[in-house]
Amino acid sequence: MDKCDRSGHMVEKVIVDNLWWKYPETDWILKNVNFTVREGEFVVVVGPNDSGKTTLARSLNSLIPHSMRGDMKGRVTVSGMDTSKHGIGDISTKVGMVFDDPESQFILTKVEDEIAFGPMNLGLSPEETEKRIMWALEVTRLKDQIFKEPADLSGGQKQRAAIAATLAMRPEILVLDEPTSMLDPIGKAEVMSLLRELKERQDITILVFEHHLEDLVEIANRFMLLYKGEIIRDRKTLDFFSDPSFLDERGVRVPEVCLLSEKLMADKVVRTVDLTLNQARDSLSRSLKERPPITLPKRELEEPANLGSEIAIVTEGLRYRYPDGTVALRGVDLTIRRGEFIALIGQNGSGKTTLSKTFNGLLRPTEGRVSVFGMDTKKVSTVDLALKVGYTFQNPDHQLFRGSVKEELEFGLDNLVRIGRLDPSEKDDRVRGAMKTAGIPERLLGEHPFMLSKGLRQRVAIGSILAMEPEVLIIDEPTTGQDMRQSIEVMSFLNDLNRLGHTIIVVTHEMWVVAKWARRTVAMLNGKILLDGPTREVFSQSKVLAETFVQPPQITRLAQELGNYGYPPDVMTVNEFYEVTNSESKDTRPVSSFSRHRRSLTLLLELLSSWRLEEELRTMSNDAQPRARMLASYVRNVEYSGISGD
Amino acid sequence: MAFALEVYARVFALVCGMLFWLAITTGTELFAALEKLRIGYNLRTSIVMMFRYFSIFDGDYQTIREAEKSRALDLSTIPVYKRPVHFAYYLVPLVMLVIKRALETGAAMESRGFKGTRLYQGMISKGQETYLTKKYYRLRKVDAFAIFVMIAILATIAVGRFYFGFFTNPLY
Repeated sequence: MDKCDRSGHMVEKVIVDNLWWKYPETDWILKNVNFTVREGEFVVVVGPNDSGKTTLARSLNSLIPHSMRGDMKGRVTVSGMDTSKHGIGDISTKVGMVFDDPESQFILTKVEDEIAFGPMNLGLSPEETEKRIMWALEVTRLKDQIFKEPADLSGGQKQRAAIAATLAMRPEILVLDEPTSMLDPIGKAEVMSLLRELKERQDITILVFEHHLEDLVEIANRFMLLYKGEIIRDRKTLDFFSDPSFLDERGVRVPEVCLLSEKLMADKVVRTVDLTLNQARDSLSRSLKERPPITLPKRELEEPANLGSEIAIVTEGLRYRYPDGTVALRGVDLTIRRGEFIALIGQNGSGKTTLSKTFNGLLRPTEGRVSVFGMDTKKVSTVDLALKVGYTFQNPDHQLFRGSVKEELEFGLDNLVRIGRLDPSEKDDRVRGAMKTAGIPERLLGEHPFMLSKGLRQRVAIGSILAMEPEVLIIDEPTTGQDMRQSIEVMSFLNDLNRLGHTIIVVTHEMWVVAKWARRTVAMLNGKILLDGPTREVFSQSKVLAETFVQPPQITRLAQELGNYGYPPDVMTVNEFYEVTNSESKDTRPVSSFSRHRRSLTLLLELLSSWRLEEELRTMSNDAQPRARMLASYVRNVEYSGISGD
Repeated sequence: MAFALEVYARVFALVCGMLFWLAITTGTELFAALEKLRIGYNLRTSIVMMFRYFSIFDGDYQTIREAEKSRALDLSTIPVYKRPVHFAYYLVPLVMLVIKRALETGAAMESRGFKGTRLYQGMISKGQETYLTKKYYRLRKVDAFAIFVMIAILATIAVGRFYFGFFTNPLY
């Protein structure tokens, strides 16, 4: 809600006027950025990685220019204070900032003390500090966690604690820099719910810099697109998404229903661009009422052409207990064939990373058995397993050890040469092969890996594994911290590797990634497999999947909500949804109530023909329309349940 | 041999004592204690951050070890005298990660008023109690008793060492 001062003018809390910023030895990161934010507004800044989002966020609380070296032009004013003239200490009473990595922003060792840190710095009395701690805990619903150590909190709780620690300073403006980028789905939901409440209950201006927009479109008043250092679009939420293709082309992950409604608008199926699942469901329902129900033959599940019959990995009764007593796996039975593309999904702590680490011998079973190409992992060395199963960690920075890209690609090979498992003459060929497969340009061979972008660092990490020519490749969270374009790039690369015959296992929280690339999905819960099957089948069981707090992609959920109109529950992409809608929309003539029911009757006749009931149905007169309607509804429900044609 | 054993025993006692202290002291307790002693804000925050970073550092170290194993370097299979050469490989990612985290933590601290502490420093210099020292980290009777016992043990050792010649190295 916009606030006015006594003279009736809108109170502008943030004024960014012609802001330019460059770090030493870089080009301008921010170029002529201009915008204002009024009191009580909730503004989201979107943009691909390296567009300057973090730089802009840090200029709002005067970390720029006071804590970072570089050149600044223009002016940033927050709550009437010029950030270049006031230190961070003064500005911190006006602007609170929450960072992306909850782990890195904790200073003390207990939630309560952590929240006290800011108010203490303000020189507040112990009584006032306590009041603020209690208030911040109340707002963030963390009262039960007051005496816990931050390390013992879940991802979502950690980020809420970080928000509480910032709120305790009672800032007038709250800036959040990608607050959900490192969280699992339940953590993301917790933070979004808190932001929604803050907007509704608290007198605070909020700016969020984020990639995940599905929830934010419901909360935010306004969106801005920061692209290559410039604000190229600044509009109210509905208006901002009026041209989803424009955003999509600039690397913004537009909510799927938004992309869909743009396509359907062109066909005049819907009249407006929808931003949320509920809006899309309502507008499509209105449109679909006027159309015949959609009928589709049961989908054949496609298998990749290169899927072999050879078994790559088998686990039998696999249990794993960590040295501290935590039981991570509780009897996992799984068979993986050569050439599969599998996604392991589930909440943090569900056991997916532990399971994947047992595949290459980083962890050995406490009970049960893991067999990799016939080798019992308890009986063979890690080196033998590393030759069969490559493992790439979530953060590429954990796995870059050498001073140049070339040395990095040679690292594993040098180790194999040292133990006599590789002829030194093969090394160069292997490195060249890995470079080619991983798409690493030759000009980068002399570069220090840490000087590369995150996407390239990840490629180098994967390339160094590929040089060892493993048959199975496990990648932990390949898209974390990546924008839309980078995510597509890395996943397409993995898809290409799969086509070349590699077995790919991806551990991920990103359901759109799973829907688009994984052909099989294993959902885990409390150390057990909850669902295992073709991705379509797993996503179509959204009620079971909900036990893992994982939701299918937005477009799948929309199809499931519109099941009564004939949409199959396993639609996984916007294009699929569009094709399903179009499969019946070619006949755009208005359909009368009678002909609609006659169509339904025809459908029913087809379905029941095998039951020899058609004679009975043909006797039904038009007077029997109400019953026909009921039966038609039954037909649609039967189809929705996925047993059509059985 | 006796000398070696004695030195080993001393180091062992020192390490055990340090581990015991680490096990029973939290970073915040240390922060509050140093505040009472009026140790400079920057220094005591740095000391506390060291505590925080132990576990993060250990987590990174374990992940790096696993990443090396995935690339066929398993230190446990390498003779002990050759291992130091390979330890260098841990340092590159560890140092880079520590620098990155330190920058992020520094930014978070500054955003929470770490640099604008005139009022806070004023409270400390005037001897006023802050939230931490007032609410939770007061000297209780049992603490005073434990300190008294420790001082008594230390005094006994000092007297034994300097007046009666106990606890000395027989070779010197």
